[in-house]
Amino acid sequence: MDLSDAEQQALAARHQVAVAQLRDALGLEVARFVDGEVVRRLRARPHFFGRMKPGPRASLRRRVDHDSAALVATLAQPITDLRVYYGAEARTAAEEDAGFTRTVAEAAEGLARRLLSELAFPGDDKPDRADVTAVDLDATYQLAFAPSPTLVWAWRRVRELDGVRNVLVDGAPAVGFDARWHLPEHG
Amino acid sequence: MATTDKQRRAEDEHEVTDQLVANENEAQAAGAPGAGYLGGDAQVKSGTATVEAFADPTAQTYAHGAMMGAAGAFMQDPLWNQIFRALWAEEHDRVAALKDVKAVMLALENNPILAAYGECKTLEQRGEQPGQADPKAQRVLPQEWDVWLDPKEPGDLSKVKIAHGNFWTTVLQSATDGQKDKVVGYGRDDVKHAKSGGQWLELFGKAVAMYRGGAAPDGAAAEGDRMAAMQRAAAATDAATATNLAIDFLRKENGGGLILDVKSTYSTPTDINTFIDALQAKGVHVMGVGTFRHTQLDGLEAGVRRVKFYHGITGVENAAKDGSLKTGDHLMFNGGSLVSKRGGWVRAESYSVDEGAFQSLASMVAEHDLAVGLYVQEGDVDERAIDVLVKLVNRFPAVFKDGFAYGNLSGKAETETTGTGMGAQQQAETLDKGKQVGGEAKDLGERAVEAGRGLWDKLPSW
Repeated sequence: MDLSDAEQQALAARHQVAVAQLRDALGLEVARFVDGEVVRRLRARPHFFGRMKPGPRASLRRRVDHDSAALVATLAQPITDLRVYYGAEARTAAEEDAGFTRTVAEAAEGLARRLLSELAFPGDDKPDRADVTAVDLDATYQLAFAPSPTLVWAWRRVRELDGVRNVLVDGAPAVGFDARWHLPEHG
Repeated sequence: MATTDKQRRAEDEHEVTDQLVANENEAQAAGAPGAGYLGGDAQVKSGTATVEAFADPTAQTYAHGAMMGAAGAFMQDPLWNQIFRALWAEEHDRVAALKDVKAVMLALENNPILAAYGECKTLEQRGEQPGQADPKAQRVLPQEWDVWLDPKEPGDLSKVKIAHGNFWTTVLQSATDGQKDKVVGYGRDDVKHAKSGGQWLELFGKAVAMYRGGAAPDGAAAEGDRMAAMQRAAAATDAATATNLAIDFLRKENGGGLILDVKSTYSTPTDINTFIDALQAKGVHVMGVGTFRHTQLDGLEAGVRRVKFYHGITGVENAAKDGSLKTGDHLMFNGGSLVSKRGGWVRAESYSVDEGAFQSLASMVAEHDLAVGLYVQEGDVDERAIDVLVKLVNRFPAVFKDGFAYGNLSGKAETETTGTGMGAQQQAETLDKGKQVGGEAKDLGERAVEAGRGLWDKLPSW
């Protein structure tokens, strides 16, 4: 079905807004998760935190912000690929959400794990001891990223707009709730 | 040297299977015809323990000191004793008389026959049959050369010397620029009498050829046949054939290569490039050039890794603070500076990675995007320290992008040495710590020359 220029511009603008909101939500979510995992352990380990010298401390603080932002940038491509894949597949929203969550969780948990291990945090099963200053080479950390409702909402919104666009590009009639809501200018 | 604690542990804690096997082979050789010639007369006290192996074989960057950490096992191996003695009798007899394994390691550092042993054993670890020694069937291990280039003809392989240099050579190597040409290099006997690069390749190749030749006879009357077969193999391998065989172990496509540790601090980057070109023309993959004198790395040709050597983590920290550490630098330092030793006397000794030192390193790697590699003084390292360091490298490949240049077989360590691996480099590390607390006054090299043997005794065997 042909769209007018105005309709195309309206859809593209809403798509841009939705993608920007998803990126922003992702940025907050990853930073919250990584910072949360680090800070929670630092608070629970006063001996360990007390021993950390200013240089590594400053580096860790910087990396929580910087590496989280960098991770969001690197997630752009996998998430785009995920949208392309789901655009060509008939999957339920729940399945799409699970795929998105897994992609983000693996990346966010990986970053948190890397920061914790490279800054020599003891494993979660180890006590905070004043007299143990050896790197725990077998350290394991319990990490479980769970997306907030806000992030899932942002993802769903992008996918709804993807769906409307795909239907229209394929020349199909724009019917259904998503089309009527996201492209009210059309019919 | 073995400590009381070490001896006690050796009795009740350590796997001694390898040692027993070696002894059994030795006994068999001793009972065979011509046993006096068949090796087995090495005096060294040595044992081998099983330790953590490299999860990624390429993380063992290269064989430090021509696999010097395996020197004890090499001297206890009857077959390789025969090869060593057949190819270089005088040196064999000198080393065979040494009892202390650290002394054996230092004597054999850079030895091409030990390097051949290390390569052949590594290939067997990677799936080859004993005696196969085929550099094309499995990935080989890169080698290291400590090089003293000829000042006038730096590209001449027959004039470059492959030698670490003894204590005084090393101290004088740190002399100020004005004195350097007068005191180091060919004026030192230990360098003057070392094998040239060309001789090194030939000996390496002949050793491999003998090993291959000796692999065929097996079973009854094997020992006499083996020696004859090895001698035939050596006789059939002329210098050019042996050199080509050695170069096959240094080709990029076979996983091989050379790291050049430039000992001749008088050599300019142009000299070093000339030498690199000469090696590359023969097919040798020159992986990188390392030096403690970092200005020598300026202007090296593209594709050759420029490696800044440091004694320990403190030297790296100082470099980060004074701005001499650059983004993307490749650097190597003694991994023993990350290791803490506890216990002894009353409690059992234990080795662990120091939390603060590792945090500092990981932070510098992240801030400067560094590619870090480790080495140790194999003569001054406990097998438990090796175990810890390999675990560390395995766990943190992003921190140790340039791995660990361990001079022994992956998963094996000498039991009769002890320490964190720092050895005499601990003194240089201590000087670097002094700089951190404001004791900085003189260049390290100046201090070394002034301080002399008392301060730099047996120094930097890196």
